[in-house]
Amino acid sequence: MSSAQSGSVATRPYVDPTPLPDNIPKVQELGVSSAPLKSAAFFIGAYCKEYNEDFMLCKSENRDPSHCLKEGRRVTRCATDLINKMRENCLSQFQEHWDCLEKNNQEYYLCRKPERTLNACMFEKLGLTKTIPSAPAGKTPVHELEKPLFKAIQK
Amino acid sequence: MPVPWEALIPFGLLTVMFGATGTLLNVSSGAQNLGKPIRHNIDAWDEMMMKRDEQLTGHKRGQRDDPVPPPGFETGSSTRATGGLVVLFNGKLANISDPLDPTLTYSPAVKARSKLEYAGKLSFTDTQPH
Repeated sequence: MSSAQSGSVATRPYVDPTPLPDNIPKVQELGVSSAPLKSAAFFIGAYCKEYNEDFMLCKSENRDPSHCLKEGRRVTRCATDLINKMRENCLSQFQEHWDCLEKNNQEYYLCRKPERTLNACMFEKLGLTKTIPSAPAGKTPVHELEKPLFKAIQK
Repeated sequence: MPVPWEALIPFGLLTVMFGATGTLLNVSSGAQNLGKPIRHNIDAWDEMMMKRDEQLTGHKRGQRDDPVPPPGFETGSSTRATGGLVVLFNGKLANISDPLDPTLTYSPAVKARSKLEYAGKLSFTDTQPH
């Protein structure tokens, strides 16, 4: 072939050929990646409980994406709000925890020490606690166990 | 009596060969994972999150905690763009999530995928973060 072929890398920025109509409000998506999200997960659950439940119930009615746009925007805004508050108040503990998670296959049980400092800071500054919804009542939740069964091999 | 140093050559060979293999594996896995340990036991959720991380940071293992995404994250993505594009028999481009047009001829694969999507069993937007 003697004609020029386009490369596999785009030379121009991608422009959405089918943008959403203007009557749909625009919300900035959350630009946080997986490890910080995992670190903040239980706090998002505590802070944004109503909006998240609203969205899940809406989705259970109808899986069509256009049906739950409003609830989805609320979820995004709430999560962005919490991440901003976390960064304002507990930035170093947050970064330490998600750094540890990233080095440990994103497993919670291997990063209890930074998690404890983050939980303490979040409770002190924002009043949020981590609660595991399906934890059996009456027993200590696994993240508060002093002598857990599943732990890192080396200290 | 002279020391039988030739007998030590196999030990040396073994040490060097095992050492070289181990070092190569270590360096290679570190280079592929930005110096972090390999992710194991990855399920579909983790695959999806790593794909999103690649859109955000450019690398599957890259992380960022800035809530403002880089420009082009919301609309730009090879998965969103090409996930649903199909070329029909008559040469028109269509998005798989559009309802089927009765005036056009569709390939059996397109019809099958459309049927699954409208039965709620398959959605191209399900694995995307909302």
